[in-house]
Amino acid sequence: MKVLVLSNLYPPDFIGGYELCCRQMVDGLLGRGHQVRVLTTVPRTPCPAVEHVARELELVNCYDPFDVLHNRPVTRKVTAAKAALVSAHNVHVLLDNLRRFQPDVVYLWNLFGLGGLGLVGCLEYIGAPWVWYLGDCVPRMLCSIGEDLLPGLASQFGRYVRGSFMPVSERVIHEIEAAGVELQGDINTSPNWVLGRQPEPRKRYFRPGERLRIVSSGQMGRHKGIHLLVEAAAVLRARGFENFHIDLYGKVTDPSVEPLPRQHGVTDLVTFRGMCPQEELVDRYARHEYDVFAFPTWKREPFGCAPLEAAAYGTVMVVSESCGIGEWFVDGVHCLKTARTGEAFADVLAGILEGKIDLKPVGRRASAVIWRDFHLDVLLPEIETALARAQGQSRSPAGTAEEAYRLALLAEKLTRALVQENASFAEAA
Amino acid sequence: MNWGILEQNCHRGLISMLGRLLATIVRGPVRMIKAAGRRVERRLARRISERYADEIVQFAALNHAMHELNTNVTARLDRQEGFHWDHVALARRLASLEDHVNRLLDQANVDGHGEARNVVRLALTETLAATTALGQLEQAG
Repeated sequence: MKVLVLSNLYPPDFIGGYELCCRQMVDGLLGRGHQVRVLTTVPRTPCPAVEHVARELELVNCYDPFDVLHNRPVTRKVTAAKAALVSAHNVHVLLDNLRRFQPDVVYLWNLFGLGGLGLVGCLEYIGAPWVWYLGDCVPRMLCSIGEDLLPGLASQFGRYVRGSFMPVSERVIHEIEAAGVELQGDINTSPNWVLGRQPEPRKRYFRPGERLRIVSSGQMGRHKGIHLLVEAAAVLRARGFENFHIDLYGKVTDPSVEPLPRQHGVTDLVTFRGMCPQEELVDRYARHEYDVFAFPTWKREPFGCAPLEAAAYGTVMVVSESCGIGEWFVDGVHCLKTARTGEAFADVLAGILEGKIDLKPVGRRASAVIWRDFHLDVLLPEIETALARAQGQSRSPAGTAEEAYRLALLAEKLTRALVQENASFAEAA
Repeated sequence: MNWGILEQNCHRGLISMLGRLLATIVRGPVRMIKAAGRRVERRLARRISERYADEIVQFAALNHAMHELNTNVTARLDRQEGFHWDHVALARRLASLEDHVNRLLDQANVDGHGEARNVVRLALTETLAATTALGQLEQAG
């Protein structure tokens, strides 16, 4: 099958699991003999050219905090509109790649920052079949300018966009549909995955009296609950526990979390270890350097690849009771779930430290289940089926590629004019 | 002309002097009235607060209770939501296990079916052979 993959970022550029999973999926599809071409944006990190990766798209600067903070409000609005709604340049590049590569199906990933709504609209217009991997509520983001949802666009999305969606959890669908964006077509929930070969079952688990090694990784911000982990460490210390340590891997995206260990007097118990390549982190899990992966993330976490990778090697997941990965693993069977508070996390960790909670059965079961049902090799046939099904669904084009590009140009100009006029009215008011 | 200006200035000065005199005379009583007003206000406020103190305390307690209730309800709802997702996870695990069991059963059926078919084939062959032999015997008389 010829598959054109569309993603806003592609490693070495990434923000989180979405982009990393994209690369893994591409490698998986290539490994199974498919012809894959990745269409992504010009790299932010210098990297060697790869044959199957075309870095031709333009990323609208919606992720750069400097631009977001220092631009004038109207410029910010115009940028946000272009990032979500339409970029004629990117529509042109897409059409050009469709013409040159002639894919059987287009595999969509994160389209935010590309004028994604325009790209989906273009595919719909020319009748190209597509499957959309939803690792976040991207359709909702594409119907918004910044934080403001455009209800008109949201309702029209459900009317005109019909295809195959593969969300990573039910909550992603709920979040999208709660905003008034209806997903029409096939919806097949499919989880994230792990890679590699199944290791020997872990033999040594934490025993009471030893030092409990806790880890967490991802963006170091409050939305991931890093402040709650620091609070939990302080609560544990107040209860007289000292035989534990929390290692935090990842970029500090929220400057307010870095001084927290000092403020809570737990600098010796909590360490920010900075960015760590995914492979190195997986090696650490494989060497059983940690006993517990703490994940006090927010409710709208679509999935959470990091705890899955850790649990594959017997590092027990302690997750907040409502988050994406919680939809796939059972509390007390494959993971430990608790309320999203520092106190509640401290309770669970205290239970482990006191020996009331045995990590071995939980870790063993989770590891077995992950290697059996959450390996990319197991999920790939399902994805191939979805791609083949989408390819088989005939769609009649509404017009030609040239017309699609003309419409994109018109839409881009119209968007800019409307946003600017709206901002002028707001300023005058 | 000059006399006119002088006259006007004197007139203005006189009016201003009279105004200041009047203000000085009036200031004292106004202050007294203001002070009295404030005293009345304070007394009234004290009376009201004394009279409604119990209610105010009750309101504060109610507000506190409402806040606590709200926190508890939120926590319960969160727990309920968490339970719901755990239930979803349980259902998914069960479905996955069911798939595995079905696959194993199908595999077992295929294996079992293969053996059975051999036996049936043999029986059929034997039956066919026997029937043919019987037919030949009959034809031979």
